[in-house]
Amino acid sequence: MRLWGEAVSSKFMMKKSTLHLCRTGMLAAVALVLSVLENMIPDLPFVLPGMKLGLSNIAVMFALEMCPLLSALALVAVKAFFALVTRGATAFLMSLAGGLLSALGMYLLIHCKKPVFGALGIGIFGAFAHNMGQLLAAFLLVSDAVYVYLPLLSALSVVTGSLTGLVFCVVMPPLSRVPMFEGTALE
Amino acid sequence: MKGFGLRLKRKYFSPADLLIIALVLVFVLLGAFRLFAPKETEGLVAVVKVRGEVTERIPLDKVQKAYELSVEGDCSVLIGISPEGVRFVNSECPDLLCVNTGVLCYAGQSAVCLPAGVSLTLESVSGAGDSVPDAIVG
Repeated sequence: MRLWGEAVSSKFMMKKSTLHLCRTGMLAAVALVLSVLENMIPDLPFVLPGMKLGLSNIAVMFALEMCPLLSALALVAVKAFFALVTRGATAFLMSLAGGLLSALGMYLLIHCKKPVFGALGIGIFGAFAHNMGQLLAAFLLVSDAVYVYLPLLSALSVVTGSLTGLVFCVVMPPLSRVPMFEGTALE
Repeated sequence: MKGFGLRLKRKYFSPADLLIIALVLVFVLLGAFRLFAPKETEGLVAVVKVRGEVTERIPLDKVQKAYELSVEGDCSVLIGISPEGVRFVNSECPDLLCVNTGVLCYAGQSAVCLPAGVSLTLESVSGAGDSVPDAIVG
C-alpha cells in the first residue's frame, strides 16, 4: 500500500497527497475538539475516576477508513502532543501508547480483505486496545500494581467502544458527502 | 467516487463483532477472577513504590497509631497509614485520582498516582508472591 499516493484527485485537481494532508489536518482539529469536549463531561459516579469516553477515537477511525495509515498515526501524534502540553509527560506517554495500539489494531480490522467487522466491533476493539496500551504504559512507568484496573477497563471499553462505533456509523454517510471527503478512497 | 461507495457500507453490527466482544470479555473475567479472590485482611504489608522502585515496606500489624507519610515522587504526595488500612491523603497532582481511590484494606488492593509516579499496594505477608500477576497480556 502506498502511504501517500501521488495520483491526482479528479474533484479537486490537487495531488492526492495534498488532499490527504488537508484531511489529516482537519481530522486532527476534530480530534482535539472532541478531546476538549470530553474533558468537560464530569466524571460519572459509578465509573472509574479518570475514565474517558474516547470520543477522539472517532476521528482516528474516520482517518483509518478514509486516509492512509500515516494520517491516522499523525492524529495519534497530535493527540499525544496535546496531552503533553495540557497534562504533562506521563499523559503524553499514556496517550501515545494507547493511541498507537488502538490505531494499529483498528487498522487491521478495517482493512481486512472483506469488511468482516462492523463499526461496533471496530469501536470496541479500538477502545479496548487504547485502554490496554495505557495500562501497559502505566505498568512500565509506575508499577505492576495497575493490573487491578484490567477487568473494569475492559468492561468499560465495551460500553464506550459501542458508543464511539455508533457515532462513527451515524456520521460516516453525511460526512462522506462533504466535498473534501468525497470521491477518493484508497486505491 | 470509485471504491469509496463500497467502504461506506460498513454496518454497525456484523457477526464477527461478537468475536471481539468475546475476546474483551475474556479479559474482564481474567481480571475479575483475581479481584474477587478471597480477601486477606490480616498480616498486611503496605508497599510504596516511586517510579517502580520500592521505597517503603510497612507491616500494618506493627502500626500502633495512624500517621501520615510524605513521599516525594515527581510531585509530593501524602500517604495515610493506619492499622486498618492505607490511603493517599493528598497529592499535588491536579486530578487526585489516587486520593479518590479511597482506603485500601485488603491484600492485592492498590492505588496509583500517575503524575507523581507513586504507587501504594497492600501485600500479604503469608503469600508474598500472591500479589504478583500471573500474566500481563496485551
